[in-house]
Amino acid sequence: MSSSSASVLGSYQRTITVVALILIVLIFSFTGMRRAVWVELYDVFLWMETTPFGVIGKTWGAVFAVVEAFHLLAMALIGGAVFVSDFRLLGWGFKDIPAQEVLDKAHKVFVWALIVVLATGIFMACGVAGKIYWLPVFWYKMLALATGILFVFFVKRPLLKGNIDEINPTVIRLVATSSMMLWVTVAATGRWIGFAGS
Amino acid sequence: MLCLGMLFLIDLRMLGLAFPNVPATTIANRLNLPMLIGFGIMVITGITLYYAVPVRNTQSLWFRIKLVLLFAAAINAFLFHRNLMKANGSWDRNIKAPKALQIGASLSLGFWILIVISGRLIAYDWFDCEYTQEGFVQVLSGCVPGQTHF
Repeated sequence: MSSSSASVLGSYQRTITVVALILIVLIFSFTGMRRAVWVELYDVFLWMETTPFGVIGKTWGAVFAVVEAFHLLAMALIGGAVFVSDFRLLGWGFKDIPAQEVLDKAHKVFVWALIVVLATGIFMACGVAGKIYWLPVFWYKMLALATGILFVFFVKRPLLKGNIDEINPTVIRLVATSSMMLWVTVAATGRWIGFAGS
Repeated sequence: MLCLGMLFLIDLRMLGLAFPNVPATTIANRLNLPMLIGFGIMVITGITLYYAVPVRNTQSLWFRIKLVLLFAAAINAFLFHRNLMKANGSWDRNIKAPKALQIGASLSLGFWILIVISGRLIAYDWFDCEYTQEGFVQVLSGCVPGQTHF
C-alpha cells in the first residue's frame, strides 16, 4: 500500500497501468503493427493443427462438438458469476448480503469456469487453427477475452478489494456495467466465430 | 448465458460447491427471476432458429433428443421446486441441501449439460434424412420415404 501511495500514479497505480496497457493493445490492434505480428503467427497456427489436440479435433467431429459444448457451459457459468457480482454492485439483488461476500464467492466460480473456458478453447483452436487464423472475429474475441481477464484481475478485483462503501458509487456502477459488457462481448464474438467460419 | 449461468449457480449452491455461506433459498429465490428472463429469451431465439430450417430441424435426431431432454428437465425443475417449497428452510445455512434437493440439482446439471451437447450436435448432418440411414435412425428421425425436400 505504501509503495502505491508513494507512486506518482497514487492509489490507482495498477488501474492506470492496465488502462494504459489496454490502450496499447488497441493501438497495436488497429495499426500496421498488427499485420507484421499476424503474418509471423501463421506458422504457430499451422503447428497447432499438428498437435494431438489439433489431430483429435480435426479427426473426430463428435469430440470437438462435446468439448465445444463444455466450452459453452463454462461460458454460461462465467456469465452467471459475472451477472451475480455485477447485479450486487448495481444494487439489483442480494442487498442484504455483504457485497464483499457475494463478490468473493462469485469470483471463485468465475476462476474455475475461466480455467475450463481456456482449456476447452485451446483444444478447439488447435482443431480449427488454419481456419480461425483468417477470421477477424476470432482476433476480436481474443482481444475481448484478454481485455476481460485483465479487467477482472487488474482493475475490478484490486479496486473492490477494500471497503466498497468508500468508493464513489458512479465508479462502482461503471465497473459493473463495463464488466457485463465485456463478457457479453466475449460470448457474442465467440458465437460469431461459428457463423463466420461456415 | 443468463439462464444457464443462474441455473448452474443455484444447482451448485444446493450441492455445496458455490456460495456455501449464502442461504440456499436466498440464492434460489433471487436468481429465479433473471433465470426465467434468460429462459424466455432462449425460447424466443430457439423458436426463431428452429423456424429458419424447420424441416431439417424437425427431422434432426439431435433436435428430437434435445426436446426429450428439455421435457425431462422441465419435470425435474417442477419436482425440485416442489421439494424446495416442502423443505422448511431449516437447512438453509447448511453447506449442502437435503438429499432430495441435491439429487434434483445433480439431475438438473446433467440434463442441461446433455441439452447443450445435443443442441450443439444439431449442426452435424451425420443422421440427416438426406443421406442413407439405418432403419432405426430413419424411424427416430421421422424420415419420409421418397422425400425430396429437406
